[in-house]
Amino acid sequence: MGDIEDAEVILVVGSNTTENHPVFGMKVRKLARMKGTNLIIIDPRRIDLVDDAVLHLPLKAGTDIALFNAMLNVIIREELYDKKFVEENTEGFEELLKVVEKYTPELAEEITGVPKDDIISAARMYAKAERASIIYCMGVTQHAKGTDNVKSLSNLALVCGHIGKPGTGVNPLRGQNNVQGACDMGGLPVFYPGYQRVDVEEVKRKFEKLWNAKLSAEPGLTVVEMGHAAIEGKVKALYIMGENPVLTDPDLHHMEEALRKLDLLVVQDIFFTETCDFAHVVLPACAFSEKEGTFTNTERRVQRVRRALKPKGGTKDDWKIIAELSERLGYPMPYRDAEEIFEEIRKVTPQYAGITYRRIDRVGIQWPCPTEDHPGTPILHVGKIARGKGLLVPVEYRPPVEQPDREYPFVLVTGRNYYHYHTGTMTRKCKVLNYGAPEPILEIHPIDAHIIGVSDEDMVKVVGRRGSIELKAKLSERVKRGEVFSTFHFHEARVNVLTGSQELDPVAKIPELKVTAVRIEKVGKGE
Amino acid sequence: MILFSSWQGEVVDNRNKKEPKSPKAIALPEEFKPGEKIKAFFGWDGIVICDDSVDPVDMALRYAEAMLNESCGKCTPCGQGARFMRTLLEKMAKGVATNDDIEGLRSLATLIKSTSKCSIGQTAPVPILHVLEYFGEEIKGRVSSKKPAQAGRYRYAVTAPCLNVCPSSLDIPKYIEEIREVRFEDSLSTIREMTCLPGTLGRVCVRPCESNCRRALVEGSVSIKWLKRFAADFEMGHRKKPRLPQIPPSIGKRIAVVGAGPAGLSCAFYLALKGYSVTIFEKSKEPGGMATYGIPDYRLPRGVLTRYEVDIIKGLGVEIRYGVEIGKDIMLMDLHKDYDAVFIGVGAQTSAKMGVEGEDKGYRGFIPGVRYLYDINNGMDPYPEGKRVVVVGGGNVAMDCVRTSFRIGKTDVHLVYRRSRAEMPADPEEIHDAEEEGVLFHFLCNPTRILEQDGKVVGVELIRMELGEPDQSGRRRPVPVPGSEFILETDILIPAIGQAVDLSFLAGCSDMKLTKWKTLEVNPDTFETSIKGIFAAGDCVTGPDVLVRAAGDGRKAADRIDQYLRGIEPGPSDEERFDRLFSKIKVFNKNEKVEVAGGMERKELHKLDPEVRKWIFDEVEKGYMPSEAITEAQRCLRCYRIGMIAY
Amino acid sequence: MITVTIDGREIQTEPGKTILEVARANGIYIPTLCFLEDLLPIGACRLCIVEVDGYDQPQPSCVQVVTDGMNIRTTTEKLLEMRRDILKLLLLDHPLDCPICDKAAECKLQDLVYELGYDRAIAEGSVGVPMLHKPPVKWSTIGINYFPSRCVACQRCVHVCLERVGCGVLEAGKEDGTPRIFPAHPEKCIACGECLSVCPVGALTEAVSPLKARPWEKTKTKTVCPYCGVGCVIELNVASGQVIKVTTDEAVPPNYGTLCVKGRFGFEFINSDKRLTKPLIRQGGSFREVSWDEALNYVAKKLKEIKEKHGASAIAGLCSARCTNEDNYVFQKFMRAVIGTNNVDHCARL
Repeated sequence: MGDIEDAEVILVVGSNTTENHPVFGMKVRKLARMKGTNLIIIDPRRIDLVDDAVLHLPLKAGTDIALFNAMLNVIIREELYDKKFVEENTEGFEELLKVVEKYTPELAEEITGVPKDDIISAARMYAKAERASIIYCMGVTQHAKGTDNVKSLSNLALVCGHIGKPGTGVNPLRGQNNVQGACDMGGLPVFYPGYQRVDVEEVKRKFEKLWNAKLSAEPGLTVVEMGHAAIEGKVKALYIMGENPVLTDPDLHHMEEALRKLDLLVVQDIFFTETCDFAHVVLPACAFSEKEGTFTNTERRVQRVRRALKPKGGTKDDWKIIAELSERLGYPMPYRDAEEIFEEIRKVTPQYAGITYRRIDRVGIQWPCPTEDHPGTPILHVGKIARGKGLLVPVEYRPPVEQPDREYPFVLVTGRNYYHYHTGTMTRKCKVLNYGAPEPILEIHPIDAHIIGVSDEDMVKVVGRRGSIELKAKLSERVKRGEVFSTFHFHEARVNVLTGSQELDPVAKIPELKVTAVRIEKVGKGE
Repeated sequence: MILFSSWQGEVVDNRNKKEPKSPKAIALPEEFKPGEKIKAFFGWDGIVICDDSVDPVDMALRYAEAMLNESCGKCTPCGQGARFMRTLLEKMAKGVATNDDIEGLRSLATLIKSTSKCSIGQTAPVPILHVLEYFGEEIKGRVSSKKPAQAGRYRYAVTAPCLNVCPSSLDIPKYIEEIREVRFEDSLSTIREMTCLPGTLGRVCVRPCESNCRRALVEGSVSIKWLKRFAADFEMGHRKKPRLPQIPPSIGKRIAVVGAGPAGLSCAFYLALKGYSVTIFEKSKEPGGMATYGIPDYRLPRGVLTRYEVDIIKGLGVEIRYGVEIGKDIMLMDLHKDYDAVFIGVGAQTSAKMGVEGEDKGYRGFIPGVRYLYDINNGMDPYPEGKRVVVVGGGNVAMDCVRTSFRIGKTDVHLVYRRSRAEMPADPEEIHDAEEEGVLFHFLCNPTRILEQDGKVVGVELIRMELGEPDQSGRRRPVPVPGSEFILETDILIPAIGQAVDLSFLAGCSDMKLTKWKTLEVNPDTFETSIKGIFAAGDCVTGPDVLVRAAGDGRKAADRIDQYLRGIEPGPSDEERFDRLFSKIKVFNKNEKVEVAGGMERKELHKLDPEVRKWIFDEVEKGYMPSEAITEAQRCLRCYRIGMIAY
Repeated sequence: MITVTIDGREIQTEPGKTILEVARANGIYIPTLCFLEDLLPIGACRLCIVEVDGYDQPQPSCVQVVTDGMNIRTTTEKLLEMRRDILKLLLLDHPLDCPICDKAAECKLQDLVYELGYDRAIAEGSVGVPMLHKPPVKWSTIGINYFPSRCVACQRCVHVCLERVGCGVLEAGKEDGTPRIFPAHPEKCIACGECLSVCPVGALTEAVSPLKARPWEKTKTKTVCPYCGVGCVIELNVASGQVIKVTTDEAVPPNYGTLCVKGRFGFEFINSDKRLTKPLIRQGGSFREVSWDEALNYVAKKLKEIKEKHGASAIAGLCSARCTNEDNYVFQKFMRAVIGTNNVDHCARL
């Protein structure tokens, strides 16, 4: 995040940066306004950053690949790509060429709804810049083809040689404060800590030795698959630490059904969340302010979390609860404190090996940090691509699974707003935040609203193929015609009742959250 | 007669003097407006009192009140101190001040003057300190006397050296401060209050403001023009919706504007903002007048004026009818009849004669400058076979002709000017760029004869000149050196020594009074021609002049037309009168020692390399990046100052 | 490199720096009130004036750049006098309500008055409003109170909003002749509280926590914001066992002193009475509070049963992107080593 200052052009894709990563958003905005960094925004909505951008490509939701491929098309056709870099550092250019050839700006205009001249300008501006950076967020990944979207973006960066230098790269912004850490720690069905695969025999053996236990080589289930498995009766017990899937997971009715079927649901949290309603046991945990430990931010910076308060009431550290349970199951985990756990993490996670609590006392360190005298790694892939040569993987555009039709004419795009976080369990208990966004709203274009007879503040019913919710309409030109937007922060209007979970991204297993076909019905007048 | 003056430290005290002296530092007009005598003037450099009925303490109090009004509150000494200064002066004016109060006032005024951020705080204490210094006896006499001061009548206005000299009266310090504060959109709104052509003026203005910039006395003037361009380009580059004032409901009155040049467009824009419906009649196919046809693309890319800025004007409901020639397609008097008012802004578009043998023979290769530029801007080379070019003249049109010549592939380009480089009226920057691009200059030369062969120009005979006594413009008059004739071979000879008004639009209208220079005669206070209801401004009134004046006068004419149609006697506003008063007093003092330690050089624009740019029409100058604009804006000293008259 | 002399000391420096920058870099103190390092110089307070040879008038050191051979004096009697006089102007009708001001003992104005000294004779004559407490007026967010009477119009808030945040909510102006700040464009406000964080006096105070504390009564604990992935460093200000305020450290990445609304004002949940404090076990349609032992024994027993009956793969676990690395590590280790399944995931994708 620090080196973004060196970029001449920043391509912001599917990231409402100023609302979802406000402090980083402020920085991007400052660069655009005060330094003159050119921002290109690729987002269906007219997000706030558009005000400071030189170009906004308001594509139809879910048509990203067609747009990126058309940009590649322009860049290759006009020979704006970095030939030397492509030759020395990438493979697969010929194959890529074959695929993007047909994505002319004209075709892309047809698919995405973005004027072709703007696509061409964006491509030129990105390619011609000395240094250009891409930042993306859930708008890119939360699709059934999220992985393809990211590949497509990295094709752009590779072809232009915008990688491995300050002010370049393809940079994801993580939605939650420790997503990076949870992944690093092996909170994933196929990885041990440090992205070591569970199905590699020698890795498994290493961990069996380290942990003194017999381990399974079979990759586990992802969260959405867990839901399906529970309904099928294959999963009987679910232990949830600090998550609230009843609001976050797509196709909520489906998830609720799954939770109801369980023989044992344990929920460990700081509040009695919507998910607790389905639990058999609820365990009270400490809040972050009562914990010692570390978080790893979106730029892989491992930072210290410190205890400012005594645990409230009878709450305990999350790890301590697990450790005590573990002991009862015959596997004692006699950790004295968080630091002792971290010392073990260092031992099993090569990327963290050089990080100690003492070293990150004042300033966090960015992994990979293999040894205690290593300064950390602010920019990945410096000088060379991590896997030797960057592979250009051509990807084809496929229309989103959910298409609007006569019955469901609108496309619902979901996201977050500035004032709330995730399911609102924390933020909705804060005065200033609730004042900023007191209730769920549905953003709808004024012309669309007019056509269906909805005025500002009217209550509307959003009906999708899997369910419906009611909330207030807000007329806004931030959304395009034919698209509506809402957030998933509010239990009063659980947007994920509408979203689908059948179609998952084949690699990352991410459901289609951004594109859902709905219809809007007016139910009441606004006061 | 002046009783007392302390202007610029020159103290002239004629009180009780038998033989009154006149101050040299200031020439104060007698009247502010007809019938309104100026009894005293308080301003940034001191005080001038002309009438003994003026009570200096009362006027100082009112001046302090003006300061309190104008102080922006953005620095401690002036923002916080102005109130206190007023309180102390109020005590003095009521006759209840103590000696301590007077001392307190003196030290406070000195503090504000020394430590304030901008010139409001730095100059407003000056007249107050002068009153304390030169009327000390009187003030002492009133200490605790309970005798109130004599209340007078006053008017005041704020000015600045740059602002005062701007023909469009742009509030320059304000728009620069807004850029400094990263309020780029606000800055453009400020500019638009006074001109609808920010992108154009930001590129081609001759910028009288910059030669009146106090920063020039430190290390180089603020680049006011480029900052204006920056504000305009920011909106264009970010595709922002132009921020315009709310248009009032239609007044239901129609106005015809003749000519879509800078004057006509400006007049139309400000009339539309007042709720009038405006129709512009334009002879050619494109808007912009001389700004479009006379200024090459490398200085003003076509889109800026003809598309972007004109689109905004059209967005206000102004209709432009192209290809309509007044005096031929429609008669002026018909417009007069059909519309509630008519504005004429036809410019001065025909080339002036050189008075040289052969110039009216129609030789191939003899092309008047305006015509030459017109053709090129329309995408054609007026004489493709001719490769050698001689341009005569020293103004900006001449510069445009020589620099454009390379860009249409001419190889040999000469410029002939009868005086020396120092006297050239063209923008020095233009001259410098032309030199860089390889134009050959022949100073102190004048054409005497055109050489032809088979009806084609083959050369020009020139005579050397020397500079004699200064003429009324203050420039030394060139005198031919007998027997110094010589020949310069050329295919193309372009006279660019000035333009005249094409009066054909007056066909069928014999009542229109003209000046001896064959321009329209207008009342300078009302812009009205000799025909009631017909107004005019721009080059067709002033003769060939700068764009910024045509645009500014076009806007002022819009105000007068509005007054006329509302049944108010048209005339200048008090602000305009103050502008005139201030320009007589002179706001800029080039001998001032500016108390700024300097060290911040003016930020120049990046230019294309001369060898690249001379062959193409791409814009030569690359505008500021925001960071550069902000840094440059920080150099502005915000030289606002208050002038107050007693009447 | 150029050479300048400050207070008799010859200093080599690069051109283009301001006098203040050079002085500070060389350990020479010049008082300031409005200056903030990451902003363009505001030039409002005029306390940083210095004398430069060749000029009769003092030069503002925050704006004026150094030039070669410049001879600068930062602390002459004349300058001290002027600085004191400027302070007096600020105190002209500044209410002396320090005892009830949140900012007492953390107030830049107090510090400056203490440092530069104050001439009592003039105080008696002109400062006539001790303890005059005027109520706050509306600001652009409910999280902040604005006390115009305490405002020194330094405009740090205005410029931080313009330059750091990019919103331009605030404008400096005057009311009844007195400089003050106006939330002129409240619709643009994102309630980030950056204005609050830079206010040098008690003009802007935090309006969220009912509990206040003097600096010596509170402890600051540096930790990481629990919200988005940027991972801003925050300082929890704790008094009487409660978080009363969130501040941050200007010197460290990733946020270098900046916070957003959630980071700064999103702390009330910590002390919410809705927090879970006891383990609960479902009993029919409701929950029963139980001891930790009972709860954990119950869970252990059930897990054992299910594993024995259906195998380890019938058990799944969700760890959390909001828990620490240590929590997550222990959780996945538990699932893998104790339960024996790789059914571990979290909601990162959602």
